[in-house]
Amino acid sequence: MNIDFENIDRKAVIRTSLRVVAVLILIPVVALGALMVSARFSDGPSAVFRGGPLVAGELVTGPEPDWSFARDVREIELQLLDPPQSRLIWIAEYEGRIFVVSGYMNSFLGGLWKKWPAQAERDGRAILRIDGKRYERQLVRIKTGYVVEGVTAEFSRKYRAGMTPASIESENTWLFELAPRGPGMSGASR
Amino acid sequence: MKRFYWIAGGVLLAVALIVLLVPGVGDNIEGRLLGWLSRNAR
Repeated sequence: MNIDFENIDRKAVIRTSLRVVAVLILIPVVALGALMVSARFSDGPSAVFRGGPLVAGELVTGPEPDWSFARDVREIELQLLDPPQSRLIWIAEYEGRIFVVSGYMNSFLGGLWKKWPAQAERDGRAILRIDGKRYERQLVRIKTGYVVEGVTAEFSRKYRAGMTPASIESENTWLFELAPRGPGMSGASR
Repeated sequence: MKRFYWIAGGVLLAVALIVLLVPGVGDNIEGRLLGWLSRNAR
């Protein structure tokens, strides 16, 4: 087959090529968008995307649970009441109290990716779901204090995260205690 | 030209349906994205 290159409409070829490239770029965008929308309407989060409110599961009330079981829990589902969105997150137990962290807070991608810590600082009311059971808690940010060393050591032991008290002090990692929720509580920090 | 848009729309719709309906595809994509975010969010 002989191709007459002189008569090829170069503009048409470029236009078609650009359209094909645009579709190729849109494929991952559509895939991620579909996952994101799907997660938003789910009972709980996916691995990456925020989920909807935690609905299923017994709501545990009464006396403070023995949180020692959380040492063997890899990830929990954490939902803020405002906004009512949930995400998967690491958890550490230390001296009968439970803690969560958010890393990469000083990085550009972290700033785009992590919105919940600032939301939790404004209104710390939260619901956890661990092993299918839900717990009402209050997120209280901790910046200093004797627990910082112990909690960061526990996170490093459990997840090999290399977390240090310095990362809390530099605010690259935000540390929150999941404290019992009292009446009329919203956001707080120590 | 109109045919191109029909084909492109069909491809994108198929991608969305595959991601949502075929078991494991969404998890695989999210796993890769999570790995990429973890490596690059430093």
